[in-house]
Amino acid sequence: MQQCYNWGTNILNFITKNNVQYKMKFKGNKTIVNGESSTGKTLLCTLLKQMLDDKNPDGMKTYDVSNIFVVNSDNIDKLDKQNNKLIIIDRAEMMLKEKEIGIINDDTDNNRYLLFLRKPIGIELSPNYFADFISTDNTIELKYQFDVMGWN
Amino acid sequence: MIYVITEDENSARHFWESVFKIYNKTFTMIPLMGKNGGNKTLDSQINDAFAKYLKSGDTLFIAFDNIANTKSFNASNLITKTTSRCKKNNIKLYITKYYCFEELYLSYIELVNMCSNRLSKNVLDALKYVNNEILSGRNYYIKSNKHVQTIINLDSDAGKNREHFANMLLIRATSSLNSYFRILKKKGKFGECWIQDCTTIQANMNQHQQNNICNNQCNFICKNCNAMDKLDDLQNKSLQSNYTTKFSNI
Repeated sequence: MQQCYNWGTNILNFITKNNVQYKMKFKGNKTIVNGESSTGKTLLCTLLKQMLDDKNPDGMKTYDVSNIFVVNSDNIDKLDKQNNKLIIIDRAEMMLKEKEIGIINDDTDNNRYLLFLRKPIGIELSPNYFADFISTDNTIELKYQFDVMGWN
Repeated sequence: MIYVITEDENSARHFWESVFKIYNKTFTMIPLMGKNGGNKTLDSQINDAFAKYLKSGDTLFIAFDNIANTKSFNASNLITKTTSRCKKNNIKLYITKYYCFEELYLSYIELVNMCSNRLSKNVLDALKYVNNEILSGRNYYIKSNKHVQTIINLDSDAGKNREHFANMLLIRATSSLNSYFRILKKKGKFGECWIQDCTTIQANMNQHQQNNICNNQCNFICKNCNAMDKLDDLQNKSLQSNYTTKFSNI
């Protein structure tokens, strides 16, 4: 079964039943997306959550999502139990409290994070890891805002 | 005219003020918003600069202490907004290209050379590791890394975040030399041997100090040099070497 997220290449890649491809190449361990509404952020979380719940959306290819953890209010207490996972958090400014922000800041190499965040809450991250979703020809990709060598 | 903005009164402000003086630039330090403003005051300082100082053709120089997003501060948004504002008003914008100020000196190969006989093996290995990672454009602050652990075990504050780690390592490294090279993140605590002519420093020493400190102890490659030579060497052998803009042509 094809992996949805490849840890080795740091790429999240899957195709929805409507033939929309999410193809995201991450450049570090943490990425913050703080772009416009309706760009597919919440849909991404919903689709991955359905796959994790074994409710594969109709007509969608089946993917291995075992190395993905989508945070919600029911499982946020398990955040510090994750190992080698891509952790995705939608509406992070509402979901994360001081304790969870500390866990994420302390985690420099165990897990990787994709945070959808609209305002600064104390996640220590350089501008190099801030990105937007861009959609071209039915493919949703990440576009990083900065690429300054010294900010890596 | 170059207008210079820094976060607070700490060493980065003193360093950049010295740089512009040494290269004979026409510049103005934008007044701080309070004594220790921090990154949250950058936005106000930039607004102040646009309202009172900046004209078409000027340069705005922003020195971050730490480029990271923190609580109530989004560096990414500030840079995007300021870039667009400068473009619209024909202002040349220069933003420091280090993660935190300490990394400018931690990436300086001559610091490693100078410390090679003065630090314990573990700390020297950590310094070499950090130096190499910065010069290679990689994030070195990985808590499971043995070199990072070495410094955190010696100074627990280094475990707080990357800037604190860099600060603790730089203090350890520069303190192993002597007080003339020590870089502390406090106003007036920047080792003058990095940024002053040797002749100026020696003018304030007695003969015994000159012999002992300068002639016998000093192993800086820029020994007996002027400040500009020292800064040229720094930018040629540190992370600054990755960038085409030099101190002299900001």
